[in-house]
Amino acid sequence: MTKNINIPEFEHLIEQYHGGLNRVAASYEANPTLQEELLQDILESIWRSLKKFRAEASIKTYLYRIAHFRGARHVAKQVKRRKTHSSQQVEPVDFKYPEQHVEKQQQIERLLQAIHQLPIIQRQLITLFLEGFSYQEMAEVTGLKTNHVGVNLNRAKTSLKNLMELQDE
Amino acid sequence: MNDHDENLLMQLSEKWQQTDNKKPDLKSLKRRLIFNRLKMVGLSLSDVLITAIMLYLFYKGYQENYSLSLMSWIGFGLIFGLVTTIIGTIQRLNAWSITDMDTKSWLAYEYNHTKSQLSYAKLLKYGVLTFGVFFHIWLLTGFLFDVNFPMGMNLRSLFAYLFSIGWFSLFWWLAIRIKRKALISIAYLDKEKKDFDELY
Repeated sequence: MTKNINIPEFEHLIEQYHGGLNRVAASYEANPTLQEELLQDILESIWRSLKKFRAEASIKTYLYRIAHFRGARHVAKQVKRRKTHSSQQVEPVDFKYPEQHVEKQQQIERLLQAIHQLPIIQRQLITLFLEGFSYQEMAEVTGLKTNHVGVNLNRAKTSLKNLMELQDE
Repeated sequence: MNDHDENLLMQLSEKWQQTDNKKPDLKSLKRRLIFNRLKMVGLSLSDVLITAIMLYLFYKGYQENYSLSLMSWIGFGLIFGLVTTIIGTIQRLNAWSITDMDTKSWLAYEYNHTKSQLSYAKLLKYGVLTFGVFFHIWLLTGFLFDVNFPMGMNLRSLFAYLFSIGWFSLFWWLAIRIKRKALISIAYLDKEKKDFDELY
């Protein structure tokens, strides 16, 4: 990655990682309007930060690191407004398999609701786990040591399981 | 976590990664970047204008030989700046405890927050805010003590209020600089400083 990234390169990069970054935003903010705002904040930070990218880490972990920093800042800013709405993000229904789609969507919504109740660091780790990051990559994104990633991730998984079970009751 | 739970999580992970097929809204991002740039240009121009006015008033004030009222307002400016900084720090400490953010993330947040506070535009914003507060105190005092406005508004007191902005801004800026130095002097943050600089 060069220091002077041009617009087509940036667009290509964002298209590649947009889904993941959007999910990161969703894990920090339940309100769809604020979620979109947060995503735009993340994209803006990425645009400004890419000039400083030294290519010492992979571009993927770099982008997620920015996204998580932005997310944490967003939570700190919004902390006075604790009444966030429940997840209302609606995807276009896949008409070929409507029932399966709705079920999948409900599962993801339940998952997101549980994620929103986790402490920040656990939230970060569980989202990275769901995105398929390795322990090493998670350590790069969060700045934790690899063994701490393992401990915290296990805690996060247990908390998530308990929260989702509570939802079922 | 047993194997069954791990499998369920892996399935959830697959479904998670399949969600969101929306196209990125790059048009909004472009609009936002252009707007931010225009805002910065506007703020810079207003900075130049206000600095010019302040310099002119300083010159006029010098000619008018002001002294006492200025000193009292400088005092107010210093106290107000100090109180604002302390309250702001307490608020963010409180935010940290509520969010259960880990120490490192919080320090990074604080570091970047203080860094962004050092911009000239923010300096101006807080200066104008302080002026607003002082102006209202002044009006209220005038009302309570039955001073006839606008007769009570002489040029000297106006200079004093305006200069209190400058003093407050300078003090506030110094306070933030000291705080930033303190933050980056924390050993492991210092080690990571270049990373934070890279991120923001």
